[in-house]
Amino acid sequence: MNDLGEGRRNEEFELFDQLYARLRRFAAVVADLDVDPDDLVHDALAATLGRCALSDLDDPSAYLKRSILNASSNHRRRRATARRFLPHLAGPTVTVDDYPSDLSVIDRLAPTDRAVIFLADVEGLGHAAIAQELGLSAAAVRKRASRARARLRRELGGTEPARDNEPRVDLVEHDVSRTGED
Amino acid sequence: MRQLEERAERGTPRGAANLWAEVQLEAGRGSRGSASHRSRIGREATYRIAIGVLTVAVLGVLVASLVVPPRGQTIESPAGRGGDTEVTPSGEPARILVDGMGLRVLHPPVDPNRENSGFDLEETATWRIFADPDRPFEGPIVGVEILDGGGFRPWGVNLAERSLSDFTDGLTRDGEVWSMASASGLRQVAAFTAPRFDTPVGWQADFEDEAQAVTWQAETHEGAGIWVWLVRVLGQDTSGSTARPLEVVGRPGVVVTPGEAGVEEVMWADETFVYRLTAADIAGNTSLQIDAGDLVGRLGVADEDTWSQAVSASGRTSTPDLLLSRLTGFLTVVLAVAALAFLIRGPRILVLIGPLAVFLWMLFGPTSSVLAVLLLGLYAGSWIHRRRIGGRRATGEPRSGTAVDG
Repeated sequence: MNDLGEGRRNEEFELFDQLYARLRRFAAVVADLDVDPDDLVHDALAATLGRCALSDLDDPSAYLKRSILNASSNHRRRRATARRFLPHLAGPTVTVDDYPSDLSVIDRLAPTDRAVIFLADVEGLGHAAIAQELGLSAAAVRKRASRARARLRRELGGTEPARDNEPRVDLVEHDVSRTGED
Repeated sequence: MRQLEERAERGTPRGAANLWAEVQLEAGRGSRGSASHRSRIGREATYRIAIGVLTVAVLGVLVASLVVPPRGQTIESPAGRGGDTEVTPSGEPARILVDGMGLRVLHPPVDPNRENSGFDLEETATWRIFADPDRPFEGPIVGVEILDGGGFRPWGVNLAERSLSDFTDGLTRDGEVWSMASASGLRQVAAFTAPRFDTPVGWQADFEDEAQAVTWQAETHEGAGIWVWLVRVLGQDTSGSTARPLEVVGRPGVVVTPGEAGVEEVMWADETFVYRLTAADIAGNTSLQIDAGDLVGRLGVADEDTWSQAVSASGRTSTPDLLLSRLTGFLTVVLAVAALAFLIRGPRILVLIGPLAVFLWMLFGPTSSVLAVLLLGLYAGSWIHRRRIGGRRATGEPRSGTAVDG
């Protein structure tokens, strides 16, 4: 990356600048509450630029999102390992911002499930598009979305987990044209 | 939805420009995850591993050299006395093997304070040897054993048609100085006192094949050299005895043939040791008059590996072999643990390290197996290192990476 010329570097930055807002939102969702989303974006960007330029990627956004998701999963795994093997060293629970309690419910989902729900319900992507973004199969995305929604309903007080093909009364309106292949 | 929206907007964004600047700054320093950084870590790890291996090797050599003096040094033989011969000038004699015979047992030198295996010559005080100073073994050799009581006993070898008295008649004494008549052409070539005989027998190795056994001895000498052994071999029996020069493994040597039913013996010397080779036994405990020329042609100085294998096969384990064996045993345990670890969490192919090391050990001995173990250990360490610093999980790279152009 350092070998790039000034002009190419500016192009790279402009590309990142265009992606930044969406990447940060994505990172904020998939990361646990004690993790700064910008740290994840930073790590993903550094790891990616260590390998190639952003413009060399077919889909820089998808690549960086996967990197962010992996980094978040790694962080969650390391923390779980520390809790399991070093309970006496773990100390008090990490202090997090005071968010509404129902927001912390989302934190109980796996980062990948969070990412699926976020991309589907907030970003409005269809299952096929999510699958391409996260490197999963469409079926896996569908299954993860269904299970994650069911769990959220249970955690938030709902009793009947809705099936994936039922009307999503609590979800954002979908762009049917993009989900038609589901 | 609302919760996800809130979560997506949490915190205060640092901004694309700031993040970009941070990443660029870290890249300039060789930050974590960059190719140059990983390359640097790899080089450093390689250096550290190499230094570690080198340190272990040096320490091993030092320990071995402290326990047993170094062997296998090559020194130049005296001018005009044959080619270079591999000997051990300090501590141990040359590693002699006999072609066609296996080393049966090797005896270290005995402690003279605990056991005196030297000759008991009682009243003998001094020995004086007279011979042609230039070619001592190509003509008559006369020895005088001077007794404490004032008398003397002569002996001779290579006398041919002449009698011993032809020489002793010309023997004169002036105080402590003994001389031979000048007409005989003999001069005093060696003089040594009785304590020289008290030197315990040094290293002894026994060789054997199906029908023949050979004993080889080496003893440190102090100037008198081969003459001491000549006296031992000949004793008082000098009738018809001959001593002829013969080069043995590149060193000046002598074949002594006692006149009567004695056994032909071969002696030679280097700068530190006098060597004696006898072949006297065959199956059935009968004597064998050996062909010295044939036997000498079968002698050879072995390299260290060959010698170590012969010693191991003889049932006696030298200290370096013992250390090597223990080291190999320790490494085998390490390999077993590593193989188990690889079986659980590593590339399955590395599980083969254990059986491979055992196979090499059986096939080529412990030295090569240790080398193989070290090389495989380096590879395993390298693999673990690469896995730690370069793995996708470590760098956050997507598992199923998005296609990259070009």
